[in-house]
Amino acid sequence: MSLSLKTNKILLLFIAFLIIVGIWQPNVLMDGVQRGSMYALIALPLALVLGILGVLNLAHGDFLTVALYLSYVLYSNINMDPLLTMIPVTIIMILLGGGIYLLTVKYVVDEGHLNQLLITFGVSMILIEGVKIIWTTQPRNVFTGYAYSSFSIGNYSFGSYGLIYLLMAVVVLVGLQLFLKKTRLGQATFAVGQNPKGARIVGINVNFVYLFVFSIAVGILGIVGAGMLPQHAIFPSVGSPFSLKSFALAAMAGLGNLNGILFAGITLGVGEAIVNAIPGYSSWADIVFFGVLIIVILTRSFREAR
Amino acid sequence: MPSLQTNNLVKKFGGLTAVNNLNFSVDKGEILGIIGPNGAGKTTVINLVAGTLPVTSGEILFNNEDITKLPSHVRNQKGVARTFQTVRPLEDFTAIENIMVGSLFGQKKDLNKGREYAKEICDFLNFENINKPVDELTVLEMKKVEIGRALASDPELLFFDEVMAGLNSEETWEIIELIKKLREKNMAICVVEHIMKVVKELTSRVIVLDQGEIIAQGPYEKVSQEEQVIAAYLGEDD
Amino acid sequence: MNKNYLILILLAIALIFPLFFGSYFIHVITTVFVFLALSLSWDMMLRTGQLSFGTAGFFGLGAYMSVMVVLKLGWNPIFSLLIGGLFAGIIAFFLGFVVLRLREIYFAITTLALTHVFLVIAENLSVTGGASGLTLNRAIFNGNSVKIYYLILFLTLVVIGISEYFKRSKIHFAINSIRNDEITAKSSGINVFKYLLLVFVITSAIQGVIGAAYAQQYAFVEPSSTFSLNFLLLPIAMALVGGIYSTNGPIVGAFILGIISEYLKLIMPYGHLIVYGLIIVVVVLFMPQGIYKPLKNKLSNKNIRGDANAQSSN
Repeated sequence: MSLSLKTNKILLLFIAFLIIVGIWQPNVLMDGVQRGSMYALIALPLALVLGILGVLNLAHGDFLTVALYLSYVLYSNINMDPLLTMIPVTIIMILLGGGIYLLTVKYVVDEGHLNQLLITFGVSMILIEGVKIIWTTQPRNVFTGYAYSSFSIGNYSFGSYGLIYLLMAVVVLVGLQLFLKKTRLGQATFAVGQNPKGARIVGINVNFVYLFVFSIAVGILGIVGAGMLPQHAIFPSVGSPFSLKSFALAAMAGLGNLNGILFAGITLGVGEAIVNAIPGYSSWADIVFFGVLIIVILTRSFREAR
Repeated sequence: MPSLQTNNLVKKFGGLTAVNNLNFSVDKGEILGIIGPNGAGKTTVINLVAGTLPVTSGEILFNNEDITKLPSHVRNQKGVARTFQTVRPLEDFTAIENIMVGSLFGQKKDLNKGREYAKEICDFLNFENINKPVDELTVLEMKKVEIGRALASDPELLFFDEVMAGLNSEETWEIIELIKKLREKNMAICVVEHIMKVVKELTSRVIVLDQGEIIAQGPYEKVSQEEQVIAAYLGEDD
Repeated sequence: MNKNYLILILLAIALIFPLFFGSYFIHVITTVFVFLALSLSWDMMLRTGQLSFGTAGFFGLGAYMSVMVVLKLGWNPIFSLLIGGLFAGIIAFFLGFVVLRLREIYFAITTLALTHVFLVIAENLSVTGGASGLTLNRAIFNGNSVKIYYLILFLTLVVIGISEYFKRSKIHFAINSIRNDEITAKSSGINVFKYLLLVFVITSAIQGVIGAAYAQQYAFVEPSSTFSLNFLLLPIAMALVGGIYSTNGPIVGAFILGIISEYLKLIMPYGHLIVYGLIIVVVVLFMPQGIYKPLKNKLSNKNIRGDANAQSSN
């Protein structure tokens, strides 16, 4: 898969952007890369579901919330190390994702977008309110030593925990690429994403692929959630903003472009970190994502109208 | 002055040229046929004239007025109407309500006058079940609704895009008679068709499109004998 | 029973209701009306085929503008409702030129993103009180719940009127056509953009007025509670449950959901909104038409012959 000239230009711009920020404020770069990788990692499963099933899962961020709470429960009840909880939580999330898919999403995959958005909307509310019922709105916190670990380069010291997101993002990305290209199920999945009707005709069990993809997507959120636990306070709406931010990345990268999500994520993460670092303007940081999202959607639509 | 005149009409989709330097005209009271193999660009021509697609370059003159840059709803209000190859009924309406859309907005009538006008169109079309919801109509009735909606905007120029598709012999003749009556009302009519007996019966002249260009024009009898025309048709799978 | 008599009876009940019930119930019904109006405004936009997630955004714009003109300019609170609506409408007008070319998910997401943008802006400007918001010296009508009830009832009736007008006038044909098939609509002489803009501006203005009324009732605005997504989710659920693309649907849905959730709030300390989520899912899966129409058909069939085979309109 050779890169086109346009992609090369964008790649160069991206690297130049990172270098400039790194020289200006290395802390911002590190913070941005870590944050951005986390956004990308969360966005990948949403993009997967959007690309293969064609469904925008508005409950995406709320699945993340559930994963965080599950991880917390294991940590606080049986003293399991948060990172270790990744394993049981991921399994539970896969089952949860599969269950919810079979109960709800399965029935709207072939229907119009309105029903899809509405049903995932409903699931989102059920998850958030369910979490509130079980765990109340009281925020929870987890304390581990390694969440505050750091390393130094020259005169600068950086938090190192966040690099875990970059690592996980790369692993998940590579894993997904390998899966889609090298395994039979992966190739079937890819085919379904391209053309579900055609895939059905050649005998691919499209319903199973949908179930599989949705469950794995939610499962990935289990991995992320466990990873986020040491650093994040947990409350019922902690995951909600990530739904929109994930869609922002998926829209920026373009449908089907999984690698692009990592780059888009890091770019926006660094952007957020930059605004965060500007004295007095740090609370405007949230606008970065939404602003960029709106601009990207609008530019695409204006370009299509040509 | 012809009702419609195109000058060097070009439409490109990326690298593909769908319509290439097209020049043709239609007069009032005339029925022009547009024929040609599949993919020749016939529907694209209708889309360009009706305003559904923007042109890449060239001019479209309607009664000598340049409508090339006008949006399709304005063209309809000025008197350009068309039917669609696959009927596109408005599903939440009954038959007559579908037709009313044309009289309400193509002509800007109010609700009462719009409904009256639509009723007259239905009478003209010999259409009885005017209050049937659109999803219960037969093929012929749906075609009539499609035509009725176009007529309700009181057009001077009317395009029929393969309107006979799916009709049996009897139904085809009914529509043919209707179109002839429209010609008597001095409308400029353009008929895109695959069914040659219809073309022979209705049109005074035809233009033959192949790959976006006119390869022949003239009366059907003459054009159907020309070598390039036969080659264009036989050269494709059917 | 004649439909008009039914409407008159309901109207009479609504008018004399406060005379018979205490302020708690009056408050509950007032809130139902607020969400009813929002639900109708969302449905009106949906009828054009555009799914909007911007309800909370324009609600918040109206709320903030109304509080600001009362607090900083000393204007009359009732007049401020108009200002709130106007402000929301004007913003919608200018945004419309850019945003109304989007379709489907993209329009929905963009309106949602805009809501967040408004929130962040409100959170950061000092004129809007920053993160703590603004508080009025006193609530409208000094907090008199009966007067507030009548004000909101009046506004709701206006919104119902607008919704019905959209359904009975020529606009109905334009809106339906645009939703069904834009290309056909355009070819039949409909200026799609003009109608989309019209509906967008009007529904946004409605949301602005309702937001203003709500803010005046509670005498404060604050970024996260004023732009709360509850003002988006709940109206949508109500319209869905009652039946979209109609005036009666959102009305029925608002009452059903409003009252159920109020009851649940009393018995569940947390998470009573879960019923909204469950109902949305159930309705989408089993009753995509909502409750109102199938119920109405059933009732009217019983009057005729109780035969289940009677025709049901789509």
